[in-house]
Amino acid sequence: MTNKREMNPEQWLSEYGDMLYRFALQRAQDSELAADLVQETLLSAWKSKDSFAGNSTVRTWLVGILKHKWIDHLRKEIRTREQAQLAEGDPTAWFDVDSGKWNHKPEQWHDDPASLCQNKQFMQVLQGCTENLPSKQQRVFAMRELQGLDSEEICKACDISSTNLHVLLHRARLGLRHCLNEHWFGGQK
Amino acid sequence: MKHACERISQLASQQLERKLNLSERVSMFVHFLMCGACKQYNQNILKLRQVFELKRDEMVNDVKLPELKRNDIQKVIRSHLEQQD
Repeated sequence: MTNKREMNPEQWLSEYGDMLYRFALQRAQDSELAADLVQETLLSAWKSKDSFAGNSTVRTWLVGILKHKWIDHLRKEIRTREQAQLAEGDPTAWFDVDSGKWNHKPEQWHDDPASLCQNKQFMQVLQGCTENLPSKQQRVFAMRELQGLDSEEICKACDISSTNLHVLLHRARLGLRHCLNEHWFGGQK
Repeated sequence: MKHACERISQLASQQLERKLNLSERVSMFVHFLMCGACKQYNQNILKLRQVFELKRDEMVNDVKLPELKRNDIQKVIRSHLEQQD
């Protein structure tokens, strides 16, 4: 159910511009880049307007195009600074070789997520711990948790299998949890 | 079952990425009954996930496409539309 009025990029800009911008900003975390992505999205939507099947809403269709734009961007960025970085953070280090038990037992974190999120110091520690992860782990973890991409999108952008992604995220979480415990939660009891 | 904790921590991470099957969920549940450390690990990473979700929402809450950018995009669109005519 689309009419001509709906298939107009200027109309899209005024109707969906803010929504697309928020979506892009959440991922890009850079206002220039986010606005560029919105522009590219609207232009390529216009170019491929005949492919709009009408079985989704214009909104969903535009978001789909924006997602592709973002994945393309990530791919390019990764390609430009891709180096072979293997053997990052062996997870066996977290567990005892003989017993298979935790080397440092995870403890309870008492603070609730909302107050942690508001706590500037905590967020700084969290950022520091995230930045300390081995670079591949850091990259996929940031895509997953900071940008909010889903597994499938990350696999496409990084050209890795979902198994590979799960391993990287698992290692990232082990490392991050440990770092936070050392630098933030460890003191409280 | 030597490396049970490693396996369980792996599942705990994977539940944030995909739907676990029944036997995976059962093995986590049963393991948590016996192992406080893994149970805490699970809660820790769930909590972290929530922190990140809140942060992402907060970041774009009420954000609008800046007027200047909007005008720029509008100009580009118009020039494209004119080329088509």
